[in-house]
Amino acid sequence: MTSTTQIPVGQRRGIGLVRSLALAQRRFPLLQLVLLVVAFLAGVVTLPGFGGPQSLVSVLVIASLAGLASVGQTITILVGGFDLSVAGFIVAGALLVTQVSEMLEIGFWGAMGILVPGSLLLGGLVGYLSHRFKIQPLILTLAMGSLALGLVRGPTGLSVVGQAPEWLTQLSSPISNTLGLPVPPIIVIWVVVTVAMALFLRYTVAGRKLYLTGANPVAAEFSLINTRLVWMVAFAFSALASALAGVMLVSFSGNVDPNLGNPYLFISLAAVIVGGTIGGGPGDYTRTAVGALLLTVVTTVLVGHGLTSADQQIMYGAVILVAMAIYGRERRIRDRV
Amino acid sequence: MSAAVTSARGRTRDSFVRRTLRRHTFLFALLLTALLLVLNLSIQPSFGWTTQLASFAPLAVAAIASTPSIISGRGGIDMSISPVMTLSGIVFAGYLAPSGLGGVEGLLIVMAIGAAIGVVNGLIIIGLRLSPIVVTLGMYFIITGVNLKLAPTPFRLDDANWLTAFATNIGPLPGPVLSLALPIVLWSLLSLTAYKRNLYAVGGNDATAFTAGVNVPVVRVVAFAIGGAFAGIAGLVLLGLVRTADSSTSASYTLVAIAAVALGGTSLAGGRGGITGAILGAASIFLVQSVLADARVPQTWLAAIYGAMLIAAVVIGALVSGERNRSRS
Amino acid sequence: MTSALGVEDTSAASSPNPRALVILTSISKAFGPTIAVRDASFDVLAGEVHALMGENGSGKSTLVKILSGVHAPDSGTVTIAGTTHRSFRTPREALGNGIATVFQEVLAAPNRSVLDNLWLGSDGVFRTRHSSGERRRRAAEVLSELLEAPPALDTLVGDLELSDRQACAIARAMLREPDLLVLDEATSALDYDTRTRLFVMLRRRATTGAGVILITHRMDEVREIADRVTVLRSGETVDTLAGDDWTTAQLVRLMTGQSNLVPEEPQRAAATRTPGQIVLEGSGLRISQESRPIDFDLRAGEIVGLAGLEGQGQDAFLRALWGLGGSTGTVTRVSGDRRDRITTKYAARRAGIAYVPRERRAESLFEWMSILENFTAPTLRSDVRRGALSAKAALIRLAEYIDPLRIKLGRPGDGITTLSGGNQQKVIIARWLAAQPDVLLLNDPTRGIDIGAKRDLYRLLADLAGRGLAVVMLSTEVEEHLELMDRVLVFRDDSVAEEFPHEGLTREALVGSFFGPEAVEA
Repeated sequence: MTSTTQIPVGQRRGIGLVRSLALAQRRFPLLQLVLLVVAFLAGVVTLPGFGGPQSLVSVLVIASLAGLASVGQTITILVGGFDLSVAGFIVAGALLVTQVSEMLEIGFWGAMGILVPGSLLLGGLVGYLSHRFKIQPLILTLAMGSLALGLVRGPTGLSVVGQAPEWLTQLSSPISNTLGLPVPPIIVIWVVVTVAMALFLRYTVAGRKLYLTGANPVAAEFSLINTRLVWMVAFAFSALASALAGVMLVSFSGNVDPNLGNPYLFISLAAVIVGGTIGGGPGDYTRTAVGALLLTVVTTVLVGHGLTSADQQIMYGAVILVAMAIYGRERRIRDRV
Repeated sequence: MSAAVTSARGRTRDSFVRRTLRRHTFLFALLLTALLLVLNLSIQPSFGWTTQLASFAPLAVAAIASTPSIISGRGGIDMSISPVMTLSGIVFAGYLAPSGLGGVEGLLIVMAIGAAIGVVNGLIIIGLRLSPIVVTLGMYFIITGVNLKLAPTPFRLDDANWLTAFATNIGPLPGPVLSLALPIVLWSLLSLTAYKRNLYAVGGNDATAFTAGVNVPVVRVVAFAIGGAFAGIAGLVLLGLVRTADSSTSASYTLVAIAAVALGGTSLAGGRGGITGAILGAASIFLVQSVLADARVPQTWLAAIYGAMLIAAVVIGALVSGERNRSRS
Repeated sequence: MTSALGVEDTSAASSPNPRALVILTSISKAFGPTIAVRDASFDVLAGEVHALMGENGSGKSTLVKILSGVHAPDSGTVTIAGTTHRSFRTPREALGNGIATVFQEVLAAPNRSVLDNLWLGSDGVFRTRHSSGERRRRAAEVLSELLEAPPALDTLVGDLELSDRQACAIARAMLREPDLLVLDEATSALDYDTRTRLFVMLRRRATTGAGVILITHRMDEVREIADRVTVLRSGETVDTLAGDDWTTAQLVRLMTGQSNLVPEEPQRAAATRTPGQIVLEGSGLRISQESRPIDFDLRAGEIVGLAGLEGQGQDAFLRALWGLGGSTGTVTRVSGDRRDRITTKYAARRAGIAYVPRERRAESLFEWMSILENFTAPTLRSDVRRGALSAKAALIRLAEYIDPLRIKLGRPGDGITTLSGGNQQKVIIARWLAAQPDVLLLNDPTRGIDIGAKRDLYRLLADLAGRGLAVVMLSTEVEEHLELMDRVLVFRDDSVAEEFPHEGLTREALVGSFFGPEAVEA
């Protein structure tokens, strides 16, 4: 057809320091780790007691919660969508293991017996409808979050009774141990989840298919990947992960109120975006974990200096806008003619 | 590029039902509203039109406010409508009214603030080529935070303020009818200009509009500005009804406003629908809630109902417009 | 430089007439590494209908987009009615300068009325340019001139037939009363009646002093209405010929030009390649409702080429062979005693058929992922060791293809975008060869890749065919059909117009058949 002039591979080698740092940043959340260290040091210097073991443990516990709430969000963003049902499923999960389990007298594991298949089913439905009818997953997840919350809240009514089982609260208590280590189990759980997610995404066929679907759904279909199934599984998983995060949240706050999950919507979005995972990839959960840690440390330091929850909201909103401006641009009209 | 020519040959004509629905996208919502109204009246014959309309009005105007950006296409769902509503209420009750600006000028000011926020949204979306949902979501968080800062405790509106009259009868007319009339009249006035034609063209296929010479970026930014201004109105309608401006209402109308628009037949893909659909969709949702209340279904089920309705609304909308992902071959 | 056939081959048009209505001077445009227009210069006189012709990839569409303001040229100018412009920043600006364009793809707003479509873009954002009565009157006027049975002004355009929709797009341009009207293959969707009426309108317009650029591949149209013809080849204007002073053969030669001074390589082992058993059968394949059905047999060891102008059905045909549907009829995979119907791409894969899509970026590449990850995409299961994906196993498999395909890469873990287009395409082809197919379908695989990579590909395909692989390759390069294929199927109007065996196939005969029976010289 028309002739082409390509830049020979050899010429590409001559790249400067900035370029090689940018390339390294692709593989490894360098920038975020640097910022993390900076933020941490700022805290140590300006806030008394910040670097001490007590305070460290609390920060890690909070970061674990943020991190666990962001697991599902990472997956849905990698596949090319977003999940706004995080808050709804968190509360639904929390309610199930407290109020509902008490009301129906089915205990913790009985509640889990509803939680797991229920969240998988609802999430899978979102993935299916979104893929089949080309509906924005944002709208469907927003609706599904409300539906999930409503389905659980309906029967329990407005009463705020129901406590978490004792052993559950122990998971995040700062003074508890895990198998001899002086860290609350929730932190260990988070580490285990981080490792498991890393293994899943890197070394399994399913994880690879997730990446391929997010990177180019058309090419993935040509490569005989069932992208509809991938979407269903991704959103089902995200719903489950959010519900389970809700269970963990109960362990931390002891009781449940309907607004429990709201902050975690923007925390999960911000953690993924700040960590550097872009819609459709590249990215992974390790980055999100670093992002969650970074956000928690920064927020803790700022709160120590007087940041209110109102300011937090503004901050997260601005962070999302800035990060999207860097990562998420679309094609120009004239290239679509 | 060439594939279009091949596949464009040999079209199948759509069914009559589908074609009629495409022309008058609000028909389904009209039917639904009529049915629900009948149901409502049969359960509760004393309907109390004015009070019902007063509760309905904020939702209806919120739905109207969400419509222009959705029509403008490319996923233009404005998530910041609800917080802007709350913001306008807070600004009016907490700052304007106490400073003596609690009259019509207050209305104009909050409309201007809403429009300005819409312009900012629009500029970021179009200038940086970002997804509208994400940008307005970020703005949603920011404005929610601003609301919290401005009104840590709710502001109260003076009972004598003219806004409260719109929640009751004004002379022979129900006040809510007048408050609804404002955005409707403004939107209709827009028909006297070329703007609406341009908006629908851009929403349907912005590349086509672009090549035909339409100034696509300006049209889209203006859509968000109009939505923001209407959100300002919606906030004052709400204020007139509840007489407090409470920052915790920031999120209240997000879901239902979009559900109303989708249910009303406005395609979330853009280029179709209108405020008639938005109002009818809002009416359907409101009447469902009313029926449930009359049937003594607890408030706590509301979240589930709204969620289910939105899902049903967008799926039906997609079915009607024939959008489908046929990649399963 | 004079070709063997004795035709002057100039690479610059005659110097432009300074009193011309529109003058294009030395336009060039590149998209990244691809040069779409190299050097285009010609002029259009007032009152003239000027045809623009060229093969696929000659740069016509890009030129149209430059004229209409969609793209800005890298260099060169456009002079219209005396004013010279470096570029039109938006279509609105081009329209404001008197250039109205009708594009090849029917660009109508389906949910709007005919009336709104016709006047689309003529207003400001808020300001209405014409009164409601005037809008209706003039729209009705133009439509009744163009169409025998014009639709009602309030009909939704989406409810109209394709020909009427295209007529609306043309009417829209007419209503702007432009100084220059550009029609880019705009007649292909029109039915015969409408086309005739259009030509009458064009003639009438021309007499008022406006100009028309008509891009078409139909020789009969050019003969009927063009005052002059400019030929584009490889992004350059080759020559401009006057009204009746040309023959079809002349035009075809100008469009195809000399080859790259490469004589026919004896590399073709076709003489020693005898086709084996039938491996794939297509019967009664109908690409569109009115097209003639196609029957097709593919044998092991043969390479079959699909040729023709853009959009004549070869793309749909190839996709049908891979079970992607879009046409009626059956495709059957034959293997020994087994006959399997191919109705989905999964069935095709199971039957050992592989398909390399056309748009590398849109349909094949996972752009942010590595070379290795791109390679393994459809064959992930082969790398599973003890439940996990083994990078080592993937590397070993990739290594098998690096040499035969001569893929030049740094490390397999590098991003796929670090490779040149040609090497990327090789990785994609390796991806499908790794699935061990018996039938390989390739959709324009050498588009936009360098000559060295092409040669490597031809070598590989010839080699694989020699070992029994059956290949069907859609190509827009005439060279490939002449060199590589055992036989070539030429598509016209969604069906196979002619089939040429390799023996004795000439460029003229092949390209001539693209344009229609009257273009084929005896």
